[in-house]
Amino acid sequence: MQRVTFQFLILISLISGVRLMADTKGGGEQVVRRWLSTNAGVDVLKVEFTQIRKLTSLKSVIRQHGVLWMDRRAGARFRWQIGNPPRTIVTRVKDELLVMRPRSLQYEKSPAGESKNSMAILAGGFPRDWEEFQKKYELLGVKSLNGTHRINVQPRGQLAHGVRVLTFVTGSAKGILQSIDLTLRDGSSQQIVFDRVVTGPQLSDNLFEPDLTGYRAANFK
Amino acid sequence: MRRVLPAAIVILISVMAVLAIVRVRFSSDVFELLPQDLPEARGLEQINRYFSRDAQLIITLDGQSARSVSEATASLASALSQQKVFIADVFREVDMERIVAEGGPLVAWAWFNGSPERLALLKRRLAHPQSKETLEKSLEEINDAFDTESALVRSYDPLQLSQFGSNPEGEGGPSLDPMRSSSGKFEILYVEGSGVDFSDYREVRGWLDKVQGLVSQWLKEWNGTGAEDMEVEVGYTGTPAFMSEVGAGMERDMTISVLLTLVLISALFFLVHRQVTPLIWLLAAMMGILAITLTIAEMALGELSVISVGFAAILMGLSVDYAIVLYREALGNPGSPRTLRRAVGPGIAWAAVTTAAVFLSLNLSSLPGLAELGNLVALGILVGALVMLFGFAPVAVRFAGKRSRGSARDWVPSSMRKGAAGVVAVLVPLAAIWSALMIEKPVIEAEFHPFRMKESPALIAWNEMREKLHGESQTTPAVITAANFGELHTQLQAFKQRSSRAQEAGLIESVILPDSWVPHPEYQRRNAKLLRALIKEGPRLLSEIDEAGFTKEGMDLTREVINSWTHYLDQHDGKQPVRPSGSLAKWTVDQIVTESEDMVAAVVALTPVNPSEREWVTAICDDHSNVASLPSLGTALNERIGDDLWKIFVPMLVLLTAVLALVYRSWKDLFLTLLALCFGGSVIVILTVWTPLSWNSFNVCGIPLLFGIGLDFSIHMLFALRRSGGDIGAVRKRMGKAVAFCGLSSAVGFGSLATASADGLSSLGVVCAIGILANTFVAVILLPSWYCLAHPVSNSAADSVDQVD
Repeated sequence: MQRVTFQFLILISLISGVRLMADTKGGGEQVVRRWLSTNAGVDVLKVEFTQIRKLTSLKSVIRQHGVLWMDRRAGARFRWQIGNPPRTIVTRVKDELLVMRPRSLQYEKSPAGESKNSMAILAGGFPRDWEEFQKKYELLGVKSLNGTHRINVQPRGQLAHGVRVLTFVTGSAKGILQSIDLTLRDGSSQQIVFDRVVTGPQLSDNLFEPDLTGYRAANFK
Repeated sequence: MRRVLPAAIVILISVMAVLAIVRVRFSSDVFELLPQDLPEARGLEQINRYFSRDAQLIITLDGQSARSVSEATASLASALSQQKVFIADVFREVDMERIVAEGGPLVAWAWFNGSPERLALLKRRLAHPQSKETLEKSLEEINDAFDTESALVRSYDPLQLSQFGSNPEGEGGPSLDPMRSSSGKFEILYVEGSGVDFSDYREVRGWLDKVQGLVSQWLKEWNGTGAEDMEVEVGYTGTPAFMSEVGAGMERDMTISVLLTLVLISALFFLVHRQVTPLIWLLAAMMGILAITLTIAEMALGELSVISVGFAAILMGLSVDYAIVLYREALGNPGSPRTLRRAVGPGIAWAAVTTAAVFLSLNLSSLPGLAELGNLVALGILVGALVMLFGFAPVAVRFAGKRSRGSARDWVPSSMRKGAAGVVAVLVPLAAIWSALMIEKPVIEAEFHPFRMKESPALIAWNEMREKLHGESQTTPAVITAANFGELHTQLQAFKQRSSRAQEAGLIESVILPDSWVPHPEYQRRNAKLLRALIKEGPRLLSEIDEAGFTKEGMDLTREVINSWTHYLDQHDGKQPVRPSGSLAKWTVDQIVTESEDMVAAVVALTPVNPSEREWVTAICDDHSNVASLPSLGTALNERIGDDLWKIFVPMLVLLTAVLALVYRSWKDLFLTLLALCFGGSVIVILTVWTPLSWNSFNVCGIPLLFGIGLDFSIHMLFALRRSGGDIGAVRKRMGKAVAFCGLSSAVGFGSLATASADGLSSLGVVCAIGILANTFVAVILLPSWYCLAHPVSNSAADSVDQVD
């Protein structure tokens, strides 16, 4: 009897787990729209984040802190930097992507539109309506887990290169974006956890167009 | 018994003909039909011979999203890879996993074959303690990289072995041809076949049917899952697909054109003569001619090409004329076969020789394919004359006597009234001149390729692949050849200098040379010593990678590179250069460099500014360097054919005019013949201006044929008119009928080629059929009236045209 009870408990826990992880693709659009509504009207954003890289070929996990600024008022301006003091700075102004390495005083410029880099997802900013979302991503499904919604998507076009699945994790309560998870084809993954989000901060132009004096051009690939 | 024997003979001949057709071998290689002194023709032939592997099928996948295509391609590649019996290997766009798993031999070979200076730099970078600095730098890059892919690549290659340093300008890597579109919605798979003889298109077709069956089954399952956004479409191209299509097309062309010609000629014969038994014998004789000619052709040529396959229908249309001449003579003058042969034999013999000569004149054309067609028709006509004279003459004598008088039909239309004929003689040439000058000057199509198939799913898939993978900036391959690899490097350097000058002159936009991927005997010899030293450092390097925090997966590429170096050095004897090993490395380099018994070749990618012009071709090509450029080939063929016409046709016209002047000894008759030819030409010019009919580098070669046939008709009619003293009615009933039947049957023979698969053959058939009909119309309807106008007092009967005809 004790054995049967134990098995029953396992069964119950499995069922609840399955429910918890239930794919809610049918109602997924509603979850996505809710998240998108939190982006609506937000033109300027500052995000402090933690980047966690788990690479198949590395024994240890890489954890880095960084800051992301986005300004959609004048085109899609964007600045991403990691480390404190910054080890890598990436900005996007209009259609140009600039990557700077302050420690080695090197930089590289490339057309943003040609980037096959999956992180260029960030540089393009988050979608603000369902049409923009559909244009950028193919919705694979939405799952609920521990008070969050995991919106699984596949980027459309060349940004999909090497990406198995991209996940936007939003809070179940308010639909606010909490993290972005990227799973690559080789099993490696990257997580960007949003530690602090500030909407409408004051941003200067220098932030997006850093001074390159003393830097020399390089090819980081 | 008397009825059974003839039936048995007819059946026997028909069976022989069918066997001859079934046994005939077709060559699906169209490049050997081009003039080989053109660099474009040589380039296409060399690309086909050296780089288009017979067993390499390309499967294209097109879908709505990058994910659907990527997953479908992986699934299909997996399904095909399991068919080990008839599929040797499957290749798709190289991804990280495959580079790590199989890229080691390629990376190792690139260092082994690269410049010793570059390898010396690597050796310094991997020496202790610089190797640790390299690893630290890699870890830093992995930590700081903005994009995950860069971090990932570096994590699998911590010693940066896949970074070969800065390439010299214009030097290309192995990925000259992408296999996935930039949007990801289109991807291709290379399927390497096995288990059949891929030089035999019939076996290739069987193999392709198997693969297509397998893919169809997979596609049904894949698209049947219900998810519309995951559905994909599949296409087939590459050498096996083209071979199968061309081979099947040739079989179809031969069958359809021969059957169509036989049916139409039978119908024509029956309408004119209303007799069945001689018709059966006539068909048997024609089949016999075809069987004999095919057998001789097979012994002489071995294989029929996509163009020469059209000879059968032309032959049918022409050889039936001899039977008609025999039959009509037998009707008019009953006697023995011998007397019949004596009466018309010389005429048939001379007609056969002159017609054969006209077709043999196609050897003067620059197109070897056309020359082959001409030779086959010429051969067939001579065979046809013999078969008809000795095989059909007894039949004609026997059945002509049984023909009832009532069965004769007056089916040839009357000649035109003299006045109207005179007006038409002036108006039509004037209309042609006006159309050509005022409406549209007849020119040879610029972008015409005579051997292109009219309906080719493989070509559609190929063009789609080119467009999706390369977009507007389509590169043109050039092939550099040499006797050995050492000489190939010398030729590549010479090509580089010429192409640099062409770039400076604004003829070429870009050039990608494959220097690094061409086996370099001298570099390999010099690098061997350095590599031995590096191999000894292998255990230390792997240990340092481990200590730096990389997993086994992070060490795999480095380990594989070191192992491959050992393997290459074991193979290296200091004399012959070592080629890369491992399926990925071998396949990748084989796409760029190839080696045959007495020749090595490398492919260069270049982008001309104006692909259809020829200046860039002459600037960069020589005996060792050729370009596979279809646009400039079209221009070259047009130039060449234009030259051919002036060099061959004009002297021929002058010569024949002189001969005709001697034969006729009458400037009026000479003028009438030239007018008839001019009239026939004018009709075609008007048609090319006012209808979709157009000239191209292939059908323009039909002009000498039309000229010869038109001349033939005119001579027959004029001599008949002379003999009869201008009795138009009598000439119409005898020679007019013969010429009309010959013209119609020849037009049927050529016209049946309109259904041919190859654009060139089809357009040649249409132009010749129309031209022959025009010549027939002129000879039968107009020429008698013109004759009466030119010879008003020759005979009172001449004036009867207005009353009688």
